[in-house]
Amino acid sequence: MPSPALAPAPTAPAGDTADASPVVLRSITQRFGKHTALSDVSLALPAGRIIGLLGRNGAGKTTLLHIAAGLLPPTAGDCTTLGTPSGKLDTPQLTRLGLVQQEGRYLEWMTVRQHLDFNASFYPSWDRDLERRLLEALELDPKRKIVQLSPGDRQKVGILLGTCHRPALLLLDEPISSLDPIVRRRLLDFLLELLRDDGTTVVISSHILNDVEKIVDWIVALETGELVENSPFDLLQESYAEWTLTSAAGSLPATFAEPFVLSRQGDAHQAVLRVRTTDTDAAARLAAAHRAELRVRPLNLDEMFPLLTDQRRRRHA
Amino acid sequence: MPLRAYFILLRPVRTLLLGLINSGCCGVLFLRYCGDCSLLEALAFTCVIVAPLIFGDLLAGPAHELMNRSVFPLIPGARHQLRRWHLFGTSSLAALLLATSSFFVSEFPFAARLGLIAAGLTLPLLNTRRVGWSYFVLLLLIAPLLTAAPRESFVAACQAVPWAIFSLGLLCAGLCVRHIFSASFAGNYWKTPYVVSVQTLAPFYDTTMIQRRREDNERQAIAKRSRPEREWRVASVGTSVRDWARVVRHARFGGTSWIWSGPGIVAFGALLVFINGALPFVFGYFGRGNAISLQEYCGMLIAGAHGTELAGSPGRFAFTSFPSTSIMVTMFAASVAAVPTRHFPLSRRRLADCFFAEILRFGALGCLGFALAYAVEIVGAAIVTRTPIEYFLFARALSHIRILPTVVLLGIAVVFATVRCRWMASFGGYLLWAAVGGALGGLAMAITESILGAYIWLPGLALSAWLARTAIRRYYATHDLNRLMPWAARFVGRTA
Repeated sequence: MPSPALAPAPTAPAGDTADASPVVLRSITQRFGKHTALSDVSLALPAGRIIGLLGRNGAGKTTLLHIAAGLLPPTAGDCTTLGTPSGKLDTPQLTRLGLVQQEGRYLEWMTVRQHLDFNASFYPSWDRDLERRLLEALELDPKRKIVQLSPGDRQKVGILLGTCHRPALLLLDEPISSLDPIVRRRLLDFLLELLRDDGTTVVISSHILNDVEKIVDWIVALETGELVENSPFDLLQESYAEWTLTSAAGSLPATFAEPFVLSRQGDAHQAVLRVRTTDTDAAARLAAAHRAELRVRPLNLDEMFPLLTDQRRRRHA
Repeated sequence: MPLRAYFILLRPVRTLLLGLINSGCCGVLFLRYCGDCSLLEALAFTCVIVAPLIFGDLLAGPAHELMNRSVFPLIPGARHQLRRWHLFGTSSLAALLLATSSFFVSEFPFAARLGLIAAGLTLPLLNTRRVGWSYFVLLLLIAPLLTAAPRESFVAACQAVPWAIFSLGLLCAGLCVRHIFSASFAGNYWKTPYVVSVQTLAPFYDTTMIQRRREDNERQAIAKRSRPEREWRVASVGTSVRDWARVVRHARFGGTSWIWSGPGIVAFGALLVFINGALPFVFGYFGRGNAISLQEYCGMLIAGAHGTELAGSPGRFAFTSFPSTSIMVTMFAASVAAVPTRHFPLSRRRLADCFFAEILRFGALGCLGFALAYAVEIVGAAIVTRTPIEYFLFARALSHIRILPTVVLLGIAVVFATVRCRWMASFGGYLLWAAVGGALGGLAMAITESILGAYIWLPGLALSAWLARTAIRRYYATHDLNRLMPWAARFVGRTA
């Protein structure tokens, strides 16, 4: 059976999915001088989901989000956001789009309140009640000048500016990296609320995977500019696992030839394998073949991350 | 965006006050006393040329500031609405200036005035970098145009072809507005270095905003830097101050561009000499009733160098402005360079000594530039006046220049000793020290020309060097070396 881990990266989506999708990328390549940030990326983000955008530093996450938001014209390929080419997003689309940037630039001389009022004046759908609740939840003092805020508080301003108009598509670039755990929890609850109430599509890029895991239901992973994963999170949870094989005879091999075995640790008596397979009988078969006892444990997103973002290197190896 | 939001952005009270003060100082006072205008003429030219440029810059600042923020391209309709309100603001001001100018201007036809005001109000939109000095450069550029001779030709041109001036002015305004509010410019402006409007920094330069700008620009510079930094190690470099001074020079200690390199400093020093020397001639030549020929001017330079007719001559002006100019330049350069561009495996004290060595090199190169330029000036003046070149004049010029290191080192000592003084972070503080430096320089020059000067010059130089080194060492021992001195940050639009 072919291993999903060794399968080629997902290609351009089928017509139906693409039409319903808030963001469709077709063969997107982005170069900055000699550096290629994104290489031939094609994907359609599913609507009404919370999508985790994963990848190591420099994988191309921010670039992808900037292209989707129309901030960056791609070097090659097409991007459609909310049904419009991302380079031509105008008032109708921008009213439905929210982007929270990792290190946004604001009008720092304004107070938080002034900046919120200023932005609100552009959006007919600005939700004052939501703004008030978020200010409370994020513990942000609206009377303070933005320039005097800590990086964490500045990030909260970005969250408020990006979400209070209740966008249909919310792109979050490392929104929780500077937040304390309590505020982080509240923010994630809020994102779930947005999804529940408005059916907002949320794309969240983050390295704090333990938190993100609790809310995401779709995973997109990038590795050095290439798309390596675009799957429902449930499917990944079902397919990634840790198998511990224990052999009393000490006859476990140093390497396992099975293609679904992604990594191995341990010795001849006990081997800890990280695997990716949807074959439910594969574990039992492997244990039987090596006359070993088997213990199976599902992997969390934190444990999956290195396996997800290392697929291309393994393929090449 | 309703009008209220635009007003929040524009801060009309500040805009109006700054515009009136700047127009008053740069327009009326400048034209009255430097351009030799009558009060009525000064007011007329201020209304038609200077005030539109100043108010145009003040209107453009907040628009640039908003467009430079990453939130801007994502705000629905922001570009169109900002353009609409900017045009509204520009039109209102144009009407106001046009109405005001009617009281003072009789020689300008209405159409020419309108064209000039429209162009003046919109041209500053092109000042997209908004670095501090661009404002002064603009004023320096228009200053000679408003002095007597070109001014009269200019008025005559306006009277002859008013509709051409009108058409040109409106065309210029249209092109400026179209370019700045175009989708391509507005969509990419947030990626450029951080800009801050005058209204944001006024009335006292807001150091928190300056620091924010620096942080943002540093982050951008790091993101753009693809070349890995060279690793400097004690094992490969050595341990002496001389070795490390060479390393920090190689790594451009706080340097931002070629201008801090050796040839750059020499060229810069030379340029200052020429500007200093040429300004009195330019003002004398174009100033009404004071026109002097180049030959007369060069004769005055030679006489000034002889010391026979120093008082009141342009030569005197050039000499006395050296210490003032050099102290301003060095104070600025030293405080920018005080922040290392990278981490060196050196103790703070050793780093301070390296920095001091760099300052000595910097000062020596600057003096060399001054001396070379002075020599060129004397030779040039001698050729123009057809007098024999007297070599003792060079020695005399060097005797004037020898005071500069003392003054500069004292200035550096003051900068580093008073870094905690918040008032020093203001532009006023900078100008005050420049004035004090100029006065001290003039006094010191008078002393060094006397017999007493020969005895106190060397001890004075040694004392100032000791004071500067002590102040630098103390600064390096007690301050955050990652932060630029606040007042230096005011001028630094970009970082290494």
